[in-house]
Amino acid sequence: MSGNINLQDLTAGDIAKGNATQLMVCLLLDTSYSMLVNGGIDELNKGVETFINQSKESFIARDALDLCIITFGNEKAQVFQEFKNIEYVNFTPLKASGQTYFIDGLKLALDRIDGRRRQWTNTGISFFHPLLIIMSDGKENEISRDNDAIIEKLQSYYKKHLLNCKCIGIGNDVAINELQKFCQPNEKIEKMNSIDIYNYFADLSKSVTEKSAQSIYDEQ
Amino acid sequence: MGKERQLVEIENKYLKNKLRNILNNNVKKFIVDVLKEIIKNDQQLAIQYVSMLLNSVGAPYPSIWLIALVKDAPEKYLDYIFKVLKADIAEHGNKVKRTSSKNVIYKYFEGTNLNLKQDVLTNLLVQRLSYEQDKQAFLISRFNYLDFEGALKTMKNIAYNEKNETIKQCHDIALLKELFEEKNAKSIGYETGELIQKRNNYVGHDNDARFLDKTKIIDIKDSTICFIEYFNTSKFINLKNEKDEIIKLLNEWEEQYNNLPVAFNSIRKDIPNFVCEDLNESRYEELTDKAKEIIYLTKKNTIVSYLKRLAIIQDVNTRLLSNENIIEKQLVSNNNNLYHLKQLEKLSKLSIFEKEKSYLNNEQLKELLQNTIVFVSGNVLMDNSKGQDRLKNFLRFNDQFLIKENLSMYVSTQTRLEIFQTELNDKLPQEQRQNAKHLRNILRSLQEHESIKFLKSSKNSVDIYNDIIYHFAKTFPDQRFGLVQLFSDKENIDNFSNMIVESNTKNVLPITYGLKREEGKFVYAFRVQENCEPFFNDFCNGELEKENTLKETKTSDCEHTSVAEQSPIKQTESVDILSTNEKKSKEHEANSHSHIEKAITPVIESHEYIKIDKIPSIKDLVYLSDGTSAELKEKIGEGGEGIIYSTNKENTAIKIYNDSSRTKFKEDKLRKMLQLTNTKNFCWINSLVFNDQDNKEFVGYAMRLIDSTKYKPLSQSVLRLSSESLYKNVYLDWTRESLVRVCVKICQSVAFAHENNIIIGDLNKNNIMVNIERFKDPVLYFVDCDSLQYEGYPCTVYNRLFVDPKIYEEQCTDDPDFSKFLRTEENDLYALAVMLFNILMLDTPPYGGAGVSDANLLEAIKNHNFQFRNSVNNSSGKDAPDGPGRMIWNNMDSKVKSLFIRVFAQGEYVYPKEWIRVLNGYITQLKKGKLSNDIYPNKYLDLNPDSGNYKYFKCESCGCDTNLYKDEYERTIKYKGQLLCPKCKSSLLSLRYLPVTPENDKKIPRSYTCAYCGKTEYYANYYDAYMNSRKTGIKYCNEHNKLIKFKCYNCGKEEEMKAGKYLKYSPKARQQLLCNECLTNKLNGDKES
Repeated sequence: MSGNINLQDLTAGDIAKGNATQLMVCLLLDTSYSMLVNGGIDELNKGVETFINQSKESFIARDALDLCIITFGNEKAQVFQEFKNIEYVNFTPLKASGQTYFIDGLKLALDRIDGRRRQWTNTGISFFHPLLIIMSDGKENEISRDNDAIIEKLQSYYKKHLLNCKCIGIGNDVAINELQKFCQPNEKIEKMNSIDIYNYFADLSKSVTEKSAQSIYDEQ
Repeated sequence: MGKERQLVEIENKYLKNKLRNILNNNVKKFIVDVLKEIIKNDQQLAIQYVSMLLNSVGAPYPSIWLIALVKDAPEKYLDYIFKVLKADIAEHGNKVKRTSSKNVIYKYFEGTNLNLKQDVLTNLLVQRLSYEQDKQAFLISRFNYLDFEGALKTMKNIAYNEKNETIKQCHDIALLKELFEEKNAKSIGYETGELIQKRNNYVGHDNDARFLDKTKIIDIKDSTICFIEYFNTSKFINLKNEKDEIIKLLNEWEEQYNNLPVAFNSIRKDIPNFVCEDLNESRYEELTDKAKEIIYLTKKNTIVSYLKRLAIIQDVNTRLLSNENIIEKQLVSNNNNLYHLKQLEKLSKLSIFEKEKSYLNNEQLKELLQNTIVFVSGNVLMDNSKGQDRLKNFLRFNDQFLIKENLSMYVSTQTRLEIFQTELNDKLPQEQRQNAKHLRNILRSLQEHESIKFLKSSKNSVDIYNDIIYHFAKTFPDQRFGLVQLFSDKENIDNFSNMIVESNTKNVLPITYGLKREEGKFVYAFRVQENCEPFFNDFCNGELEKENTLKETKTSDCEHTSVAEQSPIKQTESVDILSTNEKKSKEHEANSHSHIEKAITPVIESHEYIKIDKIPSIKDLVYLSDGTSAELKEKIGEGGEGIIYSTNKENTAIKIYNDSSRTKFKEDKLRKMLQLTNTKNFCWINSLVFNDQDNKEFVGYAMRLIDSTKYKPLSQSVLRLSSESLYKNVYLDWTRESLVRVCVKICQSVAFAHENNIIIGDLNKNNIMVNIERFKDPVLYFVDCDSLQYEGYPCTVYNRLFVDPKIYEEQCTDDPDFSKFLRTEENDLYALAVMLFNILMLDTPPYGGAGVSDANLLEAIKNHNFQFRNSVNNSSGKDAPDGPGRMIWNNMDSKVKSLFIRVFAQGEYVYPKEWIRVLNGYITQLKKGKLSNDIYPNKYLDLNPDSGNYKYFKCESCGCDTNLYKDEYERTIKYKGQLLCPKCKSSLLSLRYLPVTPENDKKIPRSYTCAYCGKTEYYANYYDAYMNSRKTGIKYCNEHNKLIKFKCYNCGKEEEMKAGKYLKYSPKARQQLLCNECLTNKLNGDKES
């Protein structure tokens, strides 16, 4: 850190571009071994990539979409992509292996969403309700751990309208009941085959574009 | 809960709690609260209690506070408040003289319920008037808004009061004059006459001659005004002996005939074969004594011209046949299309349009004056800058020419009033006053020849353009107007022409009056400006063609008869254009009034759904209410209510409702809306759409199709300009001026809507489509017109950001049901202000800065916590949101800002007319380059670059050119900070809130090593990390960064040192440490030696 650094470059992707109302989208993706079944992980990669590319192309979504990707699998939950404006997101295909660390992933996701929310609130940038998209087969190897606390936290977020959640169950034998605990009370878990994932993301980029053209009040 | 108990609770709540403070700080809210609490139960008690309350806390002027309440309190409490107010006036009337109280009354009485307050206000004013110096000015200017009859009554009271001294002041009379010019109702004629009579008894000087200028009265057909005219023209002050006689005479007439035209008729009966034109010296002898008296007492010219008018009324049939000119004159105000087309054809053939930019010669001017109504702006007459020459030139030229050719021009009464005021103003130089007097005399003489006519202009208008454009040109779209303006420089001419073009008044032709060179000499002449094409273009292209085809089908005989048929109807209605104008505007007022009274309660939305067999979709045939059919082609839009299709019909789109929206209510509403035809840039309902040919199964409506490749909703176009990517790719040509022009367009549309009883209601950024290619002259359309509030049909949708906070207050809920009440124009005005703010500030909402979340945003709106820097509630600019908004606000025109502050910080309403005026000023400033034309300015506004108040430099981070206020600049230099542009500065500050993540740590290392212990420490945020990384010097961990005290070995003074540094010394060395002063001395000593 010496000499003059361009501050605008330094914060690129981390401050709101223009005045667009920010739409935080956090993808919480299952990258455990089970995703290898039926080529699930490939569809997921294709889907997420399309989602990112389509959103980048849309002038409207490009300024507003703030994306974070968290994966759980590969022996740990990790932040694949910190919250960044979509234009600064570079996606490399995910690899699937290992166990499912869903709860850890969820904790990370909430942490990142809270951090970003604080940032926007403090700088006076308006933002839509953050959207958390969970994609998992719902088979949790650590499900019995301290999940009560995290469920309580999630539900309180939903109640205060601090978060919207979409949950997608992948595969034929999804543990719907387990996943339901993490969802908004009225939200139905979408069940899809791995082949549908691609379409889901293609649709998502459309609805994200539409949403970013709205004002915050429209969502009430 | 019992009443007593309730009262006790309120008492505990408010009174014991430093009530005086509450009162001073928040008196309105407080009293409203109290009223709300107690009025629920008992009115009597409420009144008593409020009085008691106010007295007990020693509210200095209870009635004033209560007046302040009138505006804020819900309607139903007004009754009680007025009762209290009345009682208070009776008791404390003499307290009500404080100057500030006047302002309170000014502010709060405007716009509240008239009927209720009239009584109280009159009382209050009479009380106040006996103390106030400026009573007339106050009274007139205020009452004029409220209630003219009341004003007159009070005026009379004052006039009768002989002790009153101030009534003698000249300016009062000027004001009175203005007042009476405003309203020329029949009854006022009598009242005024009486007033003059009374005044004359004791004032006894000739102000009264000026008081009511005869010239004015000629314009007014209302016969009773003649009553006053006679007082005036007789110069009865000079002929005091005759005065009583005249009054007697007039009273007789009044009793006998009720009004004066009838009296004139009686003269005609007395004189067989009387022809008005023949009323000259030779016929004088034939007149009866009564008529002689009139002629003796009045000027001949006046009575001749007046009788002329009467004759036109009486003998119109014969005259129509004999005099073609008069027929035409009659028909100028006629809406007869054929006549108009004839006139337009004639107009377009005028020689003035042949050569552009040419000065008019006398012949051309004559043509112009014969074919249009030419207004002469005040500055042509009143310009004092270049002395008398120009003035004389204008009048000399026109004097002879106009009279000779029997032509006329129009001048605003406002101009005449100004001339009059100049004449009376003691403070002005004698010469100027003389000129004004001279000018007035010339105008008078011209007026006697009917070469100058006066047009009433509204009192508050800023200049004549606004008047003409908004008052006349818009009210009479079928009439052609010329507007003469004296030009001083090129820029003004452009502004003048642009303004006319922008105002969308295609019937106004800009004409300037100025110097031209002729045979080596400069002479003054008229010139038709550019932009005159719209003057007849739209007619020639559109209606003319249409009408021509119609004409072809008719025989020429038909055309002839149609004129003949029309004329007798007209004869009784109008003599000249002006009287028609008056009538029309009166009718208009009457209509709008009756409308307001009618539509207090909304039509209740019924849920009576219309059942149909099949919802039409692509390729289906639907039937329109105008008898045609259309095939649905492509789906072009989809909303909550239905689907919009393009059709095989040209320029037509059709909205098909879905089952839940297809109600009887909707059908009725649309049917009602169908009645309005001229709807400008609203995609209005063209016709209803049915499933069947018999028009039974209502399915939707047809509207204008707009090209979706060119037109985008504001939310996806203009409002997104803050986004660099969008700006650079699509909107590169857009400038701030384009944005302001969009705003002007929206204001015009809202004004238009309100004129036509349309309340937009759901004014929001998705409902306005703007042509993204037209950045110089924006074009926009309002869509979703079926949701507008029209007549009694409410607009049931809303967007919270655009909802007037008064609605929450009035409906007493945060979640009002918009189908249960009708919105007002004011509600629209709030939405309009939000809209304009959003556009100019690039989608930044007016409320909700740093620290405002979704949860308390509504509260912020209700409390008018306007977030940007303003003098009312955020003078430091603290908490204004980051982003471009801050810089845009800094660079905005101050007048525009003050309007926003009025709306968002003070809760006032600003009308479109005012917005347009101010925004046009902004455009001028932008054109001159005084304000930044950047969409996203990155410099502070420097109005006076020569003053050196701002230092200019290159940003140390991004290298752009920018500036900073000199104090701040010097401070930055002093503390060795970075000189940054606002964008980089904003980036820097945002580092403070950047979440701590491993990735960010890589970019900006937060870690550092303690110079003493080698421990790795972390800065709390990236801002600190960044700032510290720029500092050189030794860093210590938290523990070793603490200060340790030591005593100077040399002088014994106690000083502090960082622990890390201190501990580095050996214990022995620590005892020999020197303080800074001693150390410097020692070092200097060493150097010297």
